[in-house]
Order: sequence, then structure tokens, then C-alpha cells
Amino acid sequence: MFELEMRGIVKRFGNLTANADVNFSVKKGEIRALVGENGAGKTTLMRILFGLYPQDDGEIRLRGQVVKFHGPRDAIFNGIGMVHQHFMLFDDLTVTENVVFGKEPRHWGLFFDKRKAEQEVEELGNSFGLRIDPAALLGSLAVGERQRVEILKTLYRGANILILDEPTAVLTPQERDDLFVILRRLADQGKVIIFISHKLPEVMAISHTATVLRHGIVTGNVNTAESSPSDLARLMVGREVLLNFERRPQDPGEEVLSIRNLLLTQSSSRPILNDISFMVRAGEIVGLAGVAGNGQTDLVDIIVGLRKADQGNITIGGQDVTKKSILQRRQMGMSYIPEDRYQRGLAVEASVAENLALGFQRKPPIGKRGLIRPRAMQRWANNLINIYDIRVSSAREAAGNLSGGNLQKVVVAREFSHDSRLIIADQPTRGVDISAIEFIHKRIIERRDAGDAVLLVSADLDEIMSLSDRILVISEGRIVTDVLAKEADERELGLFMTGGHHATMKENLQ
Amino acid sequence: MTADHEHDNTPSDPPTSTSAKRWLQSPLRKWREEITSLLIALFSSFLIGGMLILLSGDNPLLAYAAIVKGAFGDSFGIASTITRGLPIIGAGIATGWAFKAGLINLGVEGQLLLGGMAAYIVAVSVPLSPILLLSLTILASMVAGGLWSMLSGWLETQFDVPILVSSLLMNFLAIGLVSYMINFHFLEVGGSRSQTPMIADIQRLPRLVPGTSLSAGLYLIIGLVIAAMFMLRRTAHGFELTMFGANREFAVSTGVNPVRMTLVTMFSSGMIAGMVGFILVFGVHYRMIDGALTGPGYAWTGMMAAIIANNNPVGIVVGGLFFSAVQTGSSAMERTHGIPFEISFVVQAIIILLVASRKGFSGLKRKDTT
Repeated sequence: MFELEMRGIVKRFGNLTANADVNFSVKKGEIRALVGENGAGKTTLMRILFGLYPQDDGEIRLRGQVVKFHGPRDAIFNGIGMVHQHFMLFDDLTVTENVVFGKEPRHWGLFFDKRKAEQEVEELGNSFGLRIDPAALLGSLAVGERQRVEILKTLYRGANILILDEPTAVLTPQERDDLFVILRRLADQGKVIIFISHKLPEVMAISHTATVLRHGIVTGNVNTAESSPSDLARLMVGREVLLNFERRPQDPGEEVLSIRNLLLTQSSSRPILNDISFMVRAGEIVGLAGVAGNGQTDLVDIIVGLRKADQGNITIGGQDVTKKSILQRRQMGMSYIPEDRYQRGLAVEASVAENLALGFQRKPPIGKRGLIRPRAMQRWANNLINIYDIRVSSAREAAGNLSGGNLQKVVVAREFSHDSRLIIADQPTRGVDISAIEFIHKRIIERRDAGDAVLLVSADLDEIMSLSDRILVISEGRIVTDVLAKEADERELGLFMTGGHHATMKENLQ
Repeated sequence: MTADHEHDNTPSDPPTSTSAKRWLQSPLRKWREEITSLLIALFSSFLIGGMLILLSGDNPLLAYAAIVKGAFGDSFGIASTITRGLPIIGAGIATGWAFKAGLINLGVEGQLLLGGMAAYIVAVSVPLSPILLLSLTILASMVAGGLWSMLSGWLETQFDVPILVSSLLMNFLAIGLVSYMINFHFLEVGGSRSQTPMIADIQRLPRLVPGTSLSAGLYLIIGLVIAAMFMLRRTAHGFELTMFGANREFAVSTGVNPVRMTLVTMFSSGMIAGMVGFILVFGVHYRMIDGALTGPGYAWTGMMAAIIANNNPVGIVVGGLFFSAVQTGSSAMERTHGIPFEISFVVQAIIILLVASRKGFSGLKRKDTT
């Protein structure tokens, strides 16, 4: 018998059918991967399951009984728990406080029973093999540990069905392996695990079965053991997908970007960036790997020109740009794909055309002596929409209407249209669906083959390893390793990445 | 229930279809929604305002009819509506220009005051031929307003003092400064009011309609609106300004200089405000009267027009004229029917509340799909 059955689920948003007669049923103890591109309907389906909104048609059954959810509370009450991609935790509170928040054990119904809470949390952790320190402050934990706290939250509320949304996006290889051990243990104890992911190798590694959604319908339900990443990709996209890249052997040229002895301090504690030096040559992709929060963001800000370092210098093409403005650096051939497209890469209220044109308003074809030609702008935009296959009904549409992958294509399209020789790509495929990922990766490699220097900053080690010619790891503000990609080992890189988190490292070595 | 049906599994068009139907839906439907919600807001405002008028003991239908008659009933009314509308529109464009760049300039009142004062000082102090003098006085008003506004901008770029705070407070400074100058340096001798002597006949802007206060300032405002529209749509600076206001970090990452944009925009905004001051002094009052430029609240009405028009110049003209009509009509209403002028404040306030609040519902839609 199925633990969870979703039958004939239909959900429409206006004219768009997000889920069209979806059947999704999972047995006890099963780890089911749910895969599909952005817009395929996986999030919608899980939101229906989690009670965020009701389905238009179809029913949900738990252990054979029909259930109707009027909100997430109902879902949680019925044993459904969700671990979101972006954690919802309080850095200033302890692990225990975070786990029991909202359902605290109390003295006389009024006062928080801290001891009981810590006890319960510790027992919970032990029974499921989740290693945590109940009294630790959230802010001091590494990403993998934070995720464990999120999982504990669901277990504390009696979850039998756990939905994990892109859980491995920001984990190091070791943390990911730890997570898989935990998931298998939970499944062995009878829990249902639903694992939403884009990372096909991981889907292959952890899941028993996989459901593939495409444009709102189920295109396949497979036994993972009998399938392969290319099978899954084909079911997701409808055609063969290039998962690995061929490219010309590296023929690096002159130094394009050179960073020397960069120092960035903050009051009293250790510097954010501590004597950073490296360079990127023409025709080379240098991948900067690292767990988020080790100085990458500040480093990129300094390279781009949004911030000044306390010491050190930066040269582009041999010329010192340490004191130069963003505009000047761009004029010297720098392009920038920001880490957060909504924060810095786009204006969601402006039209797609305007978003594609910003940066080109003072040059032909769009600009001429301070004036802009609206029709030239439209042509420019339509041209880019074509080349980059941006799915939008018209260039006049507000950018906010586009999906994540399409928006990222807008950013990439714009930045790659500059006559640049240095590309700073910061998390270029974050939150982006698989065909857009493939597209963007192809374009990056194209530029590298054409002789551009690319600095790729990413928390996704798979991306770094598949694209880079050379790999650097940043940890606690220092570059801790600089290796050729073909000589790099994933485990080793993972260890370098967690170099600053001694607790995790000790455990891994045991 | 549906589990047993044999469904045709072809879904409706995926969100990425480029069919003509969807193209029509996107911009047109937005327009239709905008206008319908605007009309509903207006209608509700009139309804609520009417009920309040009823509660205060007057006849709402009579009141509304009197307002409309006062504002548009005869040529005097229309001229008055337009006359009052000019500074409102001008101040609205000044405010809207800064708002569009994301800069909250609340100092238009002080800027227009200083603009008027500067123009007056130049007019009475500099001996030049009339045409030259006219250009110089307009210039003086724009420079005074622009510099005063830019000062606020500078305080933000240099010292992180929010423009919203400094511009607002500098209004008081400006009011004090101008009052001082009127009372202690340019006071009209022999009179009993806090005002300056009038400017000479030849320096005044010609009246367009005899018997009214409508001056050639009309042409200046028309020119201003056209210039604003042109700058926003057809120049690189206007484009950068718009994007700077839409997402400052984005614009800065593409190379827009935030310090320069802030200072230039604040100057421009203050410059427009200064010109409004000029129009009031040289087209309406012909002198500086302590409190006359700030009393009618042109700057604030203008700001409200900018807000409900979402900083769009055309919308500011429409909104500005609308508010002007309500105000003009209400004074007429008070004169002819005795219904207090304050009704107009109530009606305007309700309109602004309802019109502004409907925008809160159509917020940003960020797709966060997995």
C-alpha cells in the first residue's frame, strides 16, 4: 500500500496549467526523486502536498485515507514536513530553540522548559542519527549542520513524509554524503523522502525511484537503478541533453586579470580577505570554489569595483584598475554576471528590453550622442531574445514575469554582448533549470575558446569541476589551493572548502 | 473521482508560448486593469466624501455640482483651474523627477520658495534690459532651487544623511531665510503687510486671459512637461535615471555613477521647483509675499499628483489638473454656497488613499520556481 498517493492532481493559474492530471504515489521507506525543469510543476505539486494551496481537481491520500488540507498546519499535522532550499533559521538562537520554535515544551503551559526541550532534541537527533549539539548557536554552524537542524524541525513535528527542495545545492561533497546517509537511515525507518533536485548524478546516487515532470505532466516514473542521467534529462527536456562538455585543450594566453595581495579587514576579528593573489589568463576558465561566506562575495565586489580593498591591487590587461570606477573597468573589457540576479542583475519592474539595454545606452546602435533610439533598443532586445532563446512573449514584457532560468539568460545575454575580454561569472546558474544551465555553460565555454578570461565563482562544485581549467578554493578569506582541473580530486577540494570548519573536518577524518 | 477518467494528456500552452493571444493580454490587460481600478477608486472616494458631506449637514450633490461649476463652469473658472494647476504640475514634475530616480526629495517647497526669492532679488537689483533680465531671473530661480536641492543630495553622498530627512528639514530653513529677507531687506515701506514692493510692469509675465491670473507661465510649464517626457524616453540620462530608480544596485553594477546621478538629479529637481517659484512671483503675485508661495501647498499637492501618477509626466498633468479643479471648485463652492472649503481636503485625501492603495495590490511578482 502507498503511504502517499496524489491522484489526478490538476492545478491551474489562469491560463497556465501547472499540474495536469499528475499521479504521484510513494511507498513507505522510499526515496523518490522529483525532477523537472523550472516551470515543470514540481514546486506546485509539492506546495499542494504541503497545503499551501488546494488542487483544482484530484485527491490526496495518506495511507489510503483521503485528506484535504486547508493550510500548511494541516499538512504538518498529518506528518508532512518540508525542508526548503533557503533555510528559515534564527542565527541568534540555539539549535534547540530553532527546532522547537512554535511548539515549545512548557512549564505549566506558560514558561519555556529549556531543559526538556534540549533533552527532546538530543533524543530526536540520536534516534535518527543526526549529529547536532542542542546548545550550539545557529550562527556558528556550517551549512550541512544547518540543514540537519531543518530536518530535525520536521521530525520534531512528527513528519513521516519529508520533502527536501534542492538540498544539496550548497553542500560540500562530504556534507552531501553525510546527508545521504541520514536520508537512507530515515527511509529505513519507514519515512518517505521526496527529493527535488536538478543534479542528476545525485538523483542517481540516492533515490530508489524518480518521477519526471515536464510542462505539468508526468513524463516518466523510473526505477533509478534501471535508468541513467541522460535518460532522466531526456524525459525532463524532451530531447537529448549535453551533460558533459567537450572543449579545446587549454591554450592560455596573456594574463588578463591579476589580483595581488588583496586585504580586506573588518573591526577586530580576522580579515575578510587575507592576502589574496591569483590571476586569470586569456582563454582560461578559473573556478573559485568555496562554501558561501568565506569571502567570495567581498572578493567579487572588489574586483568589479563595488568596494575597495584595504590593501592590494588589481590589474586588467596589465593596467592597474584598483582605483578605477566600475564604468572604467567595464570599458577595459570587464563583464559581470552577479550572484543575485534580482538584487543586482535586473530591474524586475522594467521591461525585458530595458534590462537587456542597460550598459549600451551611450553606444551605437542604441545610443547616439546622449540620445537613445527606442526602435534600435527594441531591435537589440529582439535580437538577443532570439539568439539566447529567451522565452518571453514580447520584449516589452516586465522582466518580473519571467522564470528564473529565462531571467538568468537575460543577464547572460546582456553581459556577453559587451566586447569583453574578462568575464566575472558569480553563481551563473543558481536557481536555473537544466536546459538553461546547459545553454549558459555552453556560452561560457564558447567565450573561453574565443580567448576571453573567465573567473567562475560558484558554490556548486560540480559546476566548477565541469567548466574550469584551473581551480582555486577560498576558505576563511584565503586561497588555500590552486590546481589544474584535471588533477583535482573532488574529495580533496571538499576538504579544502571546509578547512575552516574544524568540527566537520574532524568527523570526516574519523 | 477523476482517477478513472481517460484524460487527454496534452496540457494547455506552456508559459513560453508566443501566440498572439498572450501578446495582447500582457500590456493591454494591464491597461484595462489600471483604468478600471482607478475608476473604482475615484468613484468610491466620491461616495465616501459625499457621505461625509452629508454627515456635516450639507448636500453632497449640491456641493459636487458647485465644485464642478466653480472649476469648469465659465472661462474664469477654467482659467483659475489652470492657473492653480500650473504650480501644482510644476512641483509635481519636480518631485516626480527625483522620485523616479529613487530619491525622496521632500524639499520642493523650500526649493521653489528660494527660486522665487532669488528671481525677485535679481529682478530688483540688476539693471539690465528686460529680455536679458527675464532670462537671468529665470536662470537665477533655477540655480537657486537647484543648488538648495543639490545640497541635500550632497549631504547624502558625503555623509549618508538621508535625502528624505535633509530635504524636508531644509524647507524650514528656506522658509525662515526667505521670511527674513522679505521682512528685513526687501520690505515694502509704508505698507502693513510682510511683502516686498511689486516688480516693474515690464518685468512681469504677460497675462493670457484678462481678468484672471493666468500668465505666460503656462508656456513654461508646457515646455517643462514636454522636456521631461523627452528626457525620460529619448535620452541616455533619462534611461539611466529610470533604471537607477528601478534598481539602484543594478544600475551601479552596469556603470552608472551613484554620486553623480544623485547630485545631478537633485539639482534638476530643485531647478524645476525654482522655476515654479519664478512663475508664481513673476506671473501671479508680482512680489514676494511672506507665506504666499507655501500657503496653498502647491508642493505637497504636486507631490501627491506625482505619487498617484507613478511619476509619469502625463499622469502628473492629469492628476495636477484634477486636484486643481477640486481646490478651485471648492473655493468657488464656499463663496457661492457657504459649504466650507475644507471639504476639498477631505475629498482629496480620500482619493489619494484609495488610488494609492490599489497599487499596493499589484506588487512585484517574482517567480521563484524550482
